[in-house]
Amino acid sequence: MRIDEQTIEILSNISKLKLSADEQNNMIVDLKGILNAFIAIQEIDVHNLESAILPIHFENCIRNDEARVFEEDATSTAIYIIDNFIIGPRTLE
Amino acid sequence: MIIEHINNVNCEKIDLTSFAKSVIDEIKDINSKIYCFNCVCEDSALKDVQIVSKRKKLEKGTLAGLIISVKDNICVKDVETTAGSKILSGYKPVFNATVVEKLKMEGAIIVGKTSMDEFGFGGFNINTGVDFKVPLNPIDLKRSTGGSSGGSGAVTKVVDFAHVSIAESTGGSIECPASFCGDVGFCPTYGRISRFGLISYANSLDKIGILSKDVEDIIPVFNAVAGKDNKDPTCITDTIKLKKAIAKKKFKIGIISESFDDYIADYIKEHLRVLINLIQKKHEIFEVSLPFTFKYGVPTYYIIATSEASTNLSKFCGLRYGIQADPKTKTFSNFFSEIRSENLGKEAKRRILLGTYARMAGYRDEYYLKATKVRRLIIDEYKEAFKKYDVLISPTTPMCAPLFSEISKMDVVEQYLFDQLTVGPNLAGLPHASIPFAKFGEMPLGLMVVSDHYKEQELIDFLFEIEKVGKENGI
Amino acid sequence: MEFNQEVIIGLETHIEVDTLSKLFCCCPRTGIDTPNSRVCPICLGHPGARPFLNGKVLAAAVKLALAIDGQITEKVVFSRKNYFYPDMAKNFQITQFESPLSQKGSVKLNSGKLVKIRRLHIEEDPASLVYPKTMRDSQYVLIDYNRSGIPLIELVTEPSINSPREAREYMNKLMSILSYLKIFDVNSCVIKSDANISIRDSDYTRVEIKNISGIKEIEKALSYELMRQRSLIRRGIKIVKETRGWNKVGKTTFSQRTKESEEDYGYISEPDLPEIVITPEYIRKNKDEIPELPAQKQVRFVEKYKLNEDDSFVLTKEPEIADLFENVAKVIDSNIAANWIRGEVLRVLNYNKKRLNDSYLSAERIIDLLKLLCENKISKNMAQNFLERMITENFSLRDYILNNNISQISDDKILTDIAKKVLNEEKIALEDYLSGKEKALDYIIGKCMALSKSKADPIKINKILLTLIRTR
Repeated sequence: MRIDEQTIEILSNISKLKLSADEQNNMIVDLKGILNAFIAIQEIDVHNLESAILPIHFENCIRNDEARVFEEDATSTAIYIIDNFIIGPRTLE
Repeated sequence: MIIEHINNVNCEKIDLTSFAKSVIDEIKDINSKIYCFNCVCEDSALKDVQIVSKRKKLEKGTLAGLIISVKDNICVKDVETTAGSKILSGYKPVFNATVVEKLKMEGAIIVGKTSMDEFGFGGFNINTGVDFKVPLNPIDLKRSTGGSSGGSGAVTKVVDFAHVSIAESTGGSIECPASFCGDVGFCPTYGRISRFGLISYANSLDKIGILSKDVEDIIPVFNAVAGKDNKDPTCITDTIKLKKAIAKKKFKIGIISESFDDYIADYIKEHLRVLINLIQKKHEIFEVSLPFTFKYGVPTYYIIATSEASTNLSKFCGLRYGIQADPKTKTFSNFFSEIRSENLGKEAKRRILLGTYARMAGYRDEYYLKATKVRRLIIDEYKEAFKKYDVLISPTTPMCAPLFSEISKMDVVEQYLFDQLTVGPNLAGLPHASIPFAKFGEMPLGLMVVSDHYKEQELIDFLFEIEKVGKENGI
Repeated sequence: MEFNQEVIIGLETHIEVDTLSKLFCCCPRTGIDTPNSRVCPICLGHPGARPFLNGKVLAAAVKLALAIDGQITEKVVFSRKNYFYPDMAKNFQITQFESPLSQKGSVKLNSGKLVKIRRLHIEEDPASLVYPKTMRDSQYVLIDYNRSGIPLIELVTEPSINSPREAREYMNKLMSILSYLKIFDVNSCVIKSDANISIRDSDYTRVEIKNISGIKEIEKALSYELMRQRSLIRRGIKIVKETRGWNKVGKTTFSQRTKESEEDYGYISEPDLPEIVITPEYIRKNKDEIPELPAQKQVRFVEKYKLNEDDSFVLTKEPEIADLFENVAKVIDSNIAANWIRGEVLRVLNYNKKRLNDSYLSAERIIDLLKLLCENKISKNMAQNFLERMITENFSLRDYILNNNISQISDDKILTDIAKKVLNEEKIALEDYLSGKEKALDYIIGKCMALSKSKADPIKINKILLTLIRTR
């Protein structure tokens, strides 16, 4: 994909960001520059390698099925609450 | 230095309350000059003091009375934790990070949350969030503290009481400020210290670490916070306790040949040669090249880190915590977009867009998936080197702390490439540290030392060596 | 994929797993219904909180995969599915994109047809949204995070189902397997499906119906949609490829803008959950915990107890009923046991809206009942009445009969005495019967029953009366 206004718009929509015209222009320049600088990574052949999602292996990644009520009020950080529900923005126009 | 203080507190030779109050006054004063704290938590600190004071003599904890500053992306319960971002202003976590719980259990006193690049996005701490102040290097106020744990780097240098800073590194965020401010910056193996309660930048790269004045200060703090955590599955279950080196060991040292590349300042290369000469007398020095790491490290790092970061930051949308707005006014798409755009800084937006691109359908194979495979290559390259050598050394940064005016002339790519020397060990999850080894004028220069996975003791032993060499030769 | 059948249906089913705690945190899965009362920083998506996998869910998913003969992956990996919506605590859902836990399983229908399963994976449920008015008129939504982080197993079929009835049968078979494996609790767990349906006449234009709760609704929704599509075709109107919802009350499907329409999910691996290696030992351990499954049990019942296939099918749908039958059949003739259990017992349980374990019925009490029936001490009628009461009352049948002297009278001499007495008293009725009025006999039998306080064996009394009348 060429990095242009359309690209920035698509990316902004997906990531829920609204950029001003200036910001958009700067972003085009920046992203082009960055991807250019990263072009080296394209040349290397890695098809027979396994991905490294984490740098080391971990055991003990499963917990027992035990229930515990969280002792503090985890909704105390929310401002907009009615009747114990958290208020959220509507889903339709 | 801190060990003496802790002993004094345990023996009740120090009035902890008045000590803590004078410390808080001092840091408020420091903060007004170099802006190294986002928040000084006086009330919470005095509560910590109360608890420690009430404990029995000699049973106050292995860190009793030690003053700790915590990077602002580590959750401290009921204390404003922003990760340097306006979108989290007002967020007071309802829980402590595991590392904070452990520190408090051992009697440490947490006095403030240090300044940082927003969410960790930066190497100079100039990418502070909207409305946040950029911290200043205490040695030269016109220069950068380094990032992203700039506040931690600065305060560690400047205070004279018993203190360490708990910070976090993703691509070099502990080493770089340690190098620029003249501290020891220690980063253990990935997973050694629990990340529960750390606000994520890139989950597969983030590590909690320690900044201190001396190498020996790291030991009791590491021992208190490292170890298994039932809340973090990416936490190593084997516990180790570090000891101050007793045995005099001969090290096989690999000096990374890319340390002498053109872009690295001449003064750094000169000082490095001097150091090599000094340590050659006692230890074996070899040259080792890491071509994959130095050619592909930076792109691999940024692609993986921004891919993960762009998903981590999705949760910040004005609901449930931090900055919130009346949700009754808009549809969710507009509501989220507006509140995020107003409250996230420029660099945060840039990394979100870059990361979103790297994992989009059609580009995912070329960028995200590829980077995870190149990461495997880089890890293997280090593992090969560690078959032959005990530690690897290089400079931490290509120059001393730059002037703010110099940074403003760098474009974003140049800023990213500044991380060349630190991304490797972070990608590989290897324990590493930066220790001051020379000066350029007044500005300190940091030496980066890397050891193999799980070999923190070896790393500490070598750091003591460097410290000793430095003292013996007036560095 | 080439289609040639008239109707093509695929189902994507989300099964809530019966656990104590949620998928990635220790919040109780069930309990108080006050909104946001079973929440913590993890399922609320607080910064700094991170997930930790509930081992019971992994075991449940592996068991289900084994039960449907699916191939199980060697490494369990999770992914982040990224999209923004008010019900998402982190604005990404932790699921399994690239490596689902299992692929290529199947569920066998009664006809022998195999409904192929494309994939089986584990994922977390989002929060629930409540609309203060209708979805269209609400200015805002109310979010309840009690549901956020609930463990789900998702099963996706190949589009190999060819009628709404088949879809319902598939769901029933699935429910059966789930109750045998004990991974689904009907009282607290929810099962929801999205269905894809297309017909040949529209060139297989796919319509998706989202969020159909339960099992019965699947057939209704698909039947309605099929009818809707065929009707449109007949009128020459093109079918639009779209997402629709199912209105349970109005019994219609309706057009719906999907919340994830053109989103790009930008999947990455979930780095907070390290990969888990599934060892052969782990698989063996879970396989050992799987009981005999309905399909096998059905075959065995036919062979061992000489039941017909239909009886066997009904008796093996639910494990408690199958066990009840086998326990009763240890003492009582298997065909009688089968008839009574699939007939009366199930009818009475359904009518009272109770499950076997919620009632006072047990194998011992049913054995008692059927023994008394076989010994002719009670009539079929009496047995049916007792059964009703046995659901809600915990009394000893034999004691009750003894104490209340309810035992059916089968003794020929006693019955003959009663018959003679009535015939003597009801001379008019007897004459009516002898002159051809059949109904008069019913009257006489009625009088015998009354005299015996309803304890006379009605069949025997009838025989004795007729004999007495003939031999007068």
